[in-house]
Amino acid sequence: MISDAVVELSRWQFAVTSLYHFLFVPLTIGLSVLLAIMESTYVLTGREIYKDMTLFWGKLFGINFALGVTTGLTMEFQFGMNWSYFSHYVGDVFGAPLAIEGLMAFFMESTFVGLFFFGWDKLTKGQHLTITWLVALGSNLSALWILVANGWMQNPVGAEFNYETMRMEVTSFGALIFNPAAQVKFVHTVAAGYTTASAFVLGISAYYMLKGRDSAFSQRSYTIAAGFGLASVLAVIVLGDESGYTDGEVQKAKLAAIEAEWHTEEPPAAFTVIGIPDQEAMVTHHAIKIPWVLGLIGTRSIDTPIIGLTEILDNNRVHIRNGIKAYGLLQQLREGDRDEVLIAEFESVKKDLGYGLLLKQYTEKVVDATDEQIELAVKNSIPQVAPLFWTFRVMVACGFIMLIVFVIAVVASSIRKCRKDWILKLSLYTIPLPWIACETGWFVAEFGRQPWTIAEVLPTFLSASSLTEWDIILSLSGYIFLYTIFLLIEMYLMMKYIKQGPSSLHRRRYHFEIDERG
Amino acid sequence: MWYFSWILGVLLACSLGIINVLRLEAQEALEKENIVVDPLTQLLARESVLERLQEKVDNSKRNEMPFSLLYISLTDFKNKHQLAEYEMDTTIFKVVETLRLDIRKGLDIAARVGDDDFVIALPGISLERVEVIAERIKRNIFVNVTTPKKVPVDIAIGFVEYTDHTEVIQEEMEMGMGEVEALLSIAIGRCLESTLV
Amino acid sequence: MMIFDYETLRIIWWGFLGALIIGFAITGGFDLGVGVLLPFLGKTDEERRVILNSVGPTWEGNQVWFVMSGGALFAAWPTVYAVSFSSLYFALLLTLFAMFLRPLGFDYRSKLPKPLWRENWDRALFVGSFVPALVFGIAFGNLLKGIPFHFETDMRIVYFGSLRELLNPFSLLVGLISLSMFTMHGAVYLQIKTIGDINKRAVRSVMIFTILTLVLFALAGGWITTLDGYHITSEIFPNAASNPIAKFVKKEPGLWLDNYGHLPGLWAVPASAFMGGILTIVLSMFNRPGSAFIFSCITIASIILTAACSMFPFIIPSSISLNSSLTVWDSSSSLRTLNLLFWITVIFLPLIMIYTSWVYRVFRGKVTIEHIRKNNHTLY
Repeated sequence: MISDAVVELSRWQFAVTSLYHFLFVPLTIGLSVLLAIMESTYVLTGREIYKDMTLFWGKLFGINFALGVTTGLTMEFQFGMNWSYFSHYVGDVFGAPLAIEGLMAFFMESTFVGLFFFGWDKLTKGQHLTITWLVALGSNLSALWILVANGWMQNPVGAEFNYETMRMEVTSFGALIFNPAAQVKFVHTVAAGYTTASAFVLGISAYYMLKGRDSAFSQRSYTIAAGFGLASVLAVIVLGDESGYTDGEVQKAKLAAIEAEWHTEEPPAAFTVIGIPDQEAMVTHHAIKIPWVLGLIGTRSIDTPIIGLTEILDNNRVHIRNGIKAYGLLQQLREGDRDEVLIAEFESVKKDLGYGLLLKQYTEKVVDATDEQIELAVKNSIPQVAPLFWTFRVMVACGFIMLIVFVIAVVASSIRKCRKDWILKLSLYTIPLPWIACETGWFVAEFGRQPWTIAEVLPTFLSASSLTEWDIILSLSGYIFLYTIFLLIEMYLMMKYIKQGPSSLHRRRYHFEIDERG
Repeated sequence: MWYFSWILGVLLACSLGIINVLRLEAQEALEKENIVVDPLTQLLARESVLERLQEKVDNSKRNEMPFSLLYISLTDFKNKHQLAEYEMDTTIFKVVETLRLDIRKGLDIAARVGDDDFVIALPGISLERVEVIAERIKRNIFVNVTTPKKVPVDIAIGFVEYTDHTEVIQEEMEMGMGEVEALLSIAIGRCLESTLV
Repeated sequence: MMIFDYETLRIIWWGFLGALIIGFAITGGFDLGVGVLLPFLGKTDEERRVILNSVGPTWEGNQVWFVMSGGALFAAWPTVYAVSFSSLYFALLLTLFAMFLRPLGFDYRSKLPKPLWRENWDRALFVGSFVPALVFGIAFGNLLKGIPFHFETDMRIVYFGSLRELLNPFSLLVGLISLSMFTMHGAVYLQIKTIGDINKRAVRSVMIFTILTLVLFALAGGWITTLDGYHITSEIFPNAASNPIAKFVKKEPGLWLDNYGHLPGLWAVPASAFMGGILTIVLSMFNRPGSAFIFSCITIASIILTAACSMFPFIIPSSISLNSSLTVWDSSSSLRTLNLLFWITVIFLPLIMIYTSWVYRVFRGKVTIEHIRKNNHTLY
């Protein structure tokens, strides 16, 4: 029986390492595309200033990329190191997109990034531009495959349990790749990356304009970031909406938890803007609601109800009882019994096997679970509502604020002389918002799937490796220690180059290089 | 369905970014064409210069850097030697050629603000340095430039730094002048003073 | 489209896994070797920059072979991935922490001119190359010995060993082999890419580390004859579903040489390691480092293949619960998964090799100190 402490620590470690990794990934995804845009403009117009832009923002890209790669190594390893039961149980399905990620995306991205930095003198303009686009494509494709994998965790289609091998096995790769959860997550996440990079470039360019430095350079950077950013933030919000709709279809518990929808309301359900969710009492105190909004955007109809948590819990009770039956049948099969009736019976209930596994947290044998244990399992078969409720609202708020900022930025960059200080300051202060949105977004995605690692198939507490507490305390401390140092170094270098601006290119035409004569 | 729309979306978003900046380029090109330039010397003419000067002053204020103006006049020289129209044209042309050596491309602004008068704006240069620069320019022109009748050209030059004599600027401004005009008027005044010496 | 049966696909994927690991060893391997040699072959800041920039533009692509090996392991051999990564927890953690230092070291080292900053990153790069090179071999050594793990009835993996046990003498020997062969490989690469003093030092290193590699390899070979090997005693069903706990395994000294008995042609593999090593030294001494590089690749590939062929069909033997051992026949992914991955690999791997070699071609030629001085702010 795996100890609670080991599971908790493993979860903390995965959370820390993945949130940390995702500090750098969105900027890589988005900035690579922005660099391609800048270089395309260079090749189209022939003006050197766009090459300078590609070089300077490329320098910042490089500083960020290094830590993206570093923290990415951890992720590739962590599944096997800390979640070995998960790796065995779903590796047949989950491993494939990861391997494809390596073959299709990582090789392309990493091989050509060296050419991007060092190949300017060795390639023609057209060749180098193609390289930059391929680096951008590589980073976007790697997002695709990892999100196909994560999408499968949220909505495990195209796979079935095999009792001979005691694991999930693929039945349809098409279903895996075209999983609606995967599709929506992919576009939403890369759009978030584009928004992050746009806000980054926008804010820093605004900083240069506030200081009255390198105005030609910063104006052009600002203009590109504003245009690209507006399109991106619109996409993010639209796809966020689509995510909610998809959840309503395939991850009802998550949607209900995010919206603190305790009971199935009369459709169209009201949207709770703010309030204090209380999971014990199954009610939200001091709730401020907007009628009809949740029902309309969550189901895109006026008569389809949003299933409430109470109803979900009742359904889960039934699933769990089926799961107990499935588990019992599985044990017989594992002991060698190959009776045809037995196999048929198992096949009919095996989709609820995961629910049966939930009981393993209380009793090893599962089939001897008492009614109290079953009730406990039912209660814990949905995620905790309060954290989800708040983080979701923070993410959405950031999204809408950024939308307003980008609209203003596009308007400002269209009226050339309109370089008002307040707009520039607003752009500068917007920089942290996409990061807050990205991290809260991932929290919602992962925490909202609890208590499952694979929704309705494999519970989190079973997925962890059978390590000792000290194993994980040591590794977690190591990660925190090293990652903190790395972050400090990276921020120091990043700030240094940002402060210097394009003068750091030493092309002898920027602010700090004013040829002082006299 | 969403994968396909991603491809379209990225292309659209990239186009938006590129179009936005190309529009900026076009706007700037248009503005450049509208800038009035003195046909003889290819320097900025008076109409274009005041706005640009104000921009540079604002920039220097933002950056907490000094800003200086040079006012160069050949009026006195012309009157002294009673030069004809065509002689002045040639002389001015040569003077501006020599001036160009000291003008920092992309940074300084040089303009022809009167028939025989010129302004050079020097962002980043303080009073001590502009004094040295002024001396050097005067000497350079005296040594290297002559009229068609071989008379060495002696220019009158006045300079002012933005932070210099702020009270004087305040006075002028109280009389209704703009910042840049006040600076110019001080520079002109000093230029005139130098000819009286 | 399914044209192979399960048995054939399993062997193909055993081969692919080996190819990816060898791919990492001959690409990332010389990057590691260069990092190990950095403090010894580069005496001044500029010399060290020359060394770093000889691998600078291409090292990141090479590292992907390592990530890919892990990814392919997860996808095609998920049980192996789960067992090895959770059992070798601390060894992997150490390697991971060391590998963290490389992307940062390469990118950040020359961004500030302070000597203390650069010296410390040089040390970090050395550690970041030394540790993974050593652990690579230590991991292989432990596979040959068997890892003390066990499956419970629900397939939960329980590991009974410790870090100290992982650092046993045989595995340390194999660790030294991998360290030494990567250093040899890095030295040959530096001989190709540099001139002058660094080049001379590189030639010396090629000689030292090739001889060291071959000597240690021979020692390990001798040791293997007395080491416990593993053998499946129950009937093998190569087309059956992957269920590792359904077989019987025996453990006896010298069993790792069993395969050579059945297929005497296999002796060519270790033999080509020796031949490759000798040719590496000879060609390096005659100033033909490009050809020497090919043979040092062959040497490394042969060494890894020797271990793999000796163990076939075992991938991870269990030293305490023999029947839990993971073999080619019972730890792979499902037929459908292996098939899909096969086709994707067959399309993308050649593509990858083509554009990778193009990138190397673009960067061909020597890296000199003049080049560093001219591009002071853009190079590593």
